[in-house]
Amino acid sequence: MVSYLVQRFASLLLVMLVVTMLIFGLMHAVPGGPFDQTQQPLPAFAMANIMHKYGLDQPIWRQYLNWLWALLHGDLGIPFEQPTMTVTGLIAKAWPITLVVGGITIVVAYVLGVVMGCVSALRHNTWLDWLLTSAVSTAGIALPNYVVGFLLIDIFAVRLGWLPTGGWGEPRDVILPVIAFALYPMALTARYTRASTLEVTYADYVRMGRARGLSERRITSRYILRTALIPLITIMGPNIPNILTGSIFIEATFALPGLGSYFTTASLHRDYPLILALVLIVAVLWGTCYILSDIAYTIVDPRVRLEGLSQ
Amino acid sequence: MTAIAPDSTAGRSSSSFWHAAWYRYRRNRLALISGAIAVLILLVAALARVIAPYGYAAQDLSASLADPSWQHLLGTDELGRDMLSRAIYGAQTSMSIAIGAPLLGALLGLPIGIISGWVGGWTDYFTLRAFEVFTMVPQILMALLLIALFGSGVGKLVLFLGITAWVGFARLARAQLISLRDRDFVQAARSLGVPTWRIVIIHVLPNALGPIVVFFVQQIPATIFAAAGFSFLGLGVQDPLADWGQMINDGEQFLPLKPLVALLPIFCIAVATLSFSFAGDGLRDALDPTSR
Repeated sequence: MVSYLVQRFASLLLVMLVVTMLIFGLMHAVPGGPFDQTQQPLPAFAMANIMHKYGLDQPIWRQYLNWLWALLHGDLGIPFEQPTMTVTGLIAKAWPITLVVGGITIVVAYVLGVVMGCVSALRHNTWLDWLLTSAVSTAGIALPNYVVGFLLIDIFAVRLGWLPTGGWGEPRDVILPVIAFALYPMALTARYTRASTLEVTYADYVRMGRARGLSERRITSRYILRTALIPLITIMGPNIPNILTGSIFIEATFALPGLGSYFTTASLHRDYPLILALVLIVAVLWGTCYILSDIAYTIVDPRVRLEGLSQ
Repeated sequence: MTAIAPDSTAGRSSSSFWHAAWYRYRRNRLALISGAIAVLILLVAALARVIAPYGYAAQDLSASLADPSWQHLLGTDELGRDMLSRAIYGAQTSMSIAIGAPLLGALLGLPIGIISGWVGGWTDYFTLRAFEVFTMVPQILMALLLIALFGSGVGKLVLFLGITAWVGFARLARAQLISLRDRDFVQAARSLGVPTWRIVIIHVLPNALGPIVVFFVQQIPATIFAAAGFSFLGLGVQDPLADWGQMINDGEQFLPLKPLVALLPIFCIAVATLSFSFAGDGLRDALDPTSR
């Protein structure tokens, strides 16, 4: 297990290095620089000064090494868009908002999704199953989350006036974005949970448990659900980093000043340090979730053992 | 089901497999209806020029935001363009992207996955790392940089979304190849001296086709969403070309006053997504009887 984790960690670092190189190359290949101004072009010498200040006059491999070196010292650089701040400061300001919305979304989506999936599987082919599976799960996968957002705003903010159309500050500002954001993962989780629970419900060892006269509750909690929830790790793992780094669609629709919008503005404005910082955040989160879900497997499923590259 | 092995009957047994799958699919009413609607959408998309009463760019500014009438069955948009015609041409654009991108992803990903699953060893190790690289890169960021580099348009959107879609196909093909590689019928073919390429194409691939077809159909709704996302950011299909995602964007502001302008493309996306999703589920159940 330890040797597996060490190997996994090492290969993830390698992968992250390649990812940053790829993005670094790609963003420098894009024509136009961060300081191209259309309205008032700077004189050549001033431009040269700025380029020199940010090290943009050096060869590209040199710039990459500079960035890597600064990163190892915990310095992510200065965002070209807001030169009075640091990238770290900018992220520290915007990310908490995204984390609040994302965190609530994860809890709502996965808890409700699992509950709905279990209930509809255990009440298979009843009206409740029908309502949960067809109505709720179907509504969740039918439309992109921002379109759900448009509809929610139109109904609950514009027509009914119960909730704000967007913005950030009060606790109730969270409600609509979370609904719009959580609907899709919730529907997906519910569908997967239902399918995997149904599969287990008719397994031989469950029938065996019944034959031994175990109580229905014990069979459900210890025999059915424990096995049925294992595959969920596979769906949740890769989705959590996405939700925690925010969605530009949700944040733009509900005017949330979170991290998501920087994914677009940074690349539109060629804000190299900010782009790399965002890539890094996603990569680190993704790697962490990957390793955590591997470990989670060994805990919930005793058949899984993590081994190093020996075969 | 797993015992379809002997070499000489491979062709016949695989056709009976598809027959049995079609039989199972037909009995699933939701899947059958969804499949029919999906085919209908594809037909409408292909025949847009014939069906649509007006051109997608034909403006009549005097009839801006008109209510439904005999002249414009579903009303007009802000620029007085016939909504029904735009929805029909929108099907053409949206479906070209939604089918084209997974197709490109399959063309790129399947060979990579097949090679890595079959060869194994270091080839496999590096392919797995490549999967991780592509999964780690934020899709939006990557696509934005590519759009900045190459510009946008229907063909280019297919290209960008296809490039990000290859990983899923490669992963799937790899998993299939690994599970089939050591089966008895492959061993048998190998011991008879059948060349490797022949084993892969004639003996292994037909057995892996089911999951690949299912995955392909499941990618269609995901691609519709992704393409709509580009329209949302203003980087997708450009006016006057009609696209559902872009129509939602343009119509969203009229939601309180002229809801139909926004609700029509929303309805189109919902119907398309759901019919392809349910058809995909039905295919999965039909092609893999052990899954539920």
